[in-house]
Amino acid sequence: VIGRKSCVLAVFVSAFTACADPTTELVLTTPSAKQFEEQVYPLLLRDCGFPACHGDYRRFFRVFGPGRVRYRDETRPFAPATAEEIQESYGRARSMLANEDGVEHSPLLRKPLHADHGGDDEWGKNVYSKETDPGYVLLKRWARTGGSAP
Amino acid sequence: MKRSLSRPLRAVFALCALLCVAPAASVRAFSDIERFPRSVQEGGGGGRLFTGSPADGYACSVCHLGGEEPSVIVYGLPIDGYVPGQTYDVEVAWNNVAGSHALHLEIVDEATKRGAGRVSLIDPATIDARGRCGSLPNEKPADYILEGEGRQIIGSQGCGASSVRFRFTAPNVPEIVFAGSVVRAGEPQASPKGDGVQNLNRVLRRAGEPNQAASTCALTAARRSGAGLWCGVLLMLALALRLSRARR
Repeated sequence: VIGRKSCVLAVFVSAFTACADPTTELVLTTPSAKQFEEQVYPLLLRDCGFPACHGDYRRFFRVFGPGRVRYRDETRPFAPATAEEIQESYGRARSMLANEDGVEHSPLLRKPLHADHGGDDEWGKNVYSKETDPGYVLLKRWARTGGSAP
Repeated sequence: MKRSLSRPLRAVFALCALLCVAPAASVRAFSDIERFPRSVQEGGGGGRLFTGSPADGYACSVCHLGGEEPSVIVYGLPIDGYVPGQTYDVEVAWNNVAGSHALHLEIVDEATKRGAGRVSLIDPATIDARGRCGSLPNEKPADYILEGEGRQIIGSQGCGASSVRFRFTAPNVPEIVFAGSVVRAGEPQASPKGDGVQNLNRVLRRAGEPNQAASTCALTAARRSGAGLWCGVLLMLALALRLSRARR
């Protein structure tokens, strides 16, 4: 009985300690929209925006565009990307940079290299095999244009 | 103690809420061969040709999903070791009972991830009905070849053929990879949903090299079964612990 009480007490203490930390804030940066449209959006279309990957409606991070998933049903499959699709893809990519520890640790920069990301290819490699991959370098450079707070 | 959300956090939640009520999106498939090599802005692969090889990584399964896998057989691969300079006749065939099939395949050097050896289509005059659209003797051949950036892709259009044949001249490198991806179109035909995909990966070695004909499929399966084995061991240990406690 004493063991159970201690356990419950420990859970309460740890829960309140975690919530009481006033310094924990999610930082949402504003990286360059221009660079996104010109360089990052094509990269995400090439590497992420497939129907079975980040075109899937069940995912939060999605990329819309020609030859992939279109944002609106009425858009022709291979019509050029609409401003709405670029904006929507930007908004979602930007949200994926939100992180308490800065963009360096954000899901957008962490997951394409991370072992548990579902995007492993047929050979068990992730989207980018290492941080020096040109695609990853571009993604990181863009992410930093909004600052890398905190 | 009630904790209010910080401004950036509220912004993220607002953005999430907005995006969650966004309109439903449409999904489309690639519709023609010429589209694949184009830029992503034009709806192309932007360098990806979806063979599933180490040169590409991605296979047809990144777009086509949800349907029954096609049954595919490959004939003529030198699985016991290839001889540099020797030409092999290879055929990839599938069960064409239902749905049109399309395919992209390539052979790459394991070390450089570039095209290995030389592939070529066979003389159109010698292509039998199975390699033609509709699997009909007088229809056009379904096969094609895409070349660029050091890669050669053999393809078959989704027009009702049931096999593709090509010739492959082996390079003088220790190890190559035969990789391909076959799609069986489901319904509706204009959408990649409901399509089945079979990915083909086979590591081939030069005659005389050790460990002939290792298959990446086998390696993947081995890795998975290894994880399963450890899970099983842990489960057994937990069960034994519980039983011993119950006896006390």
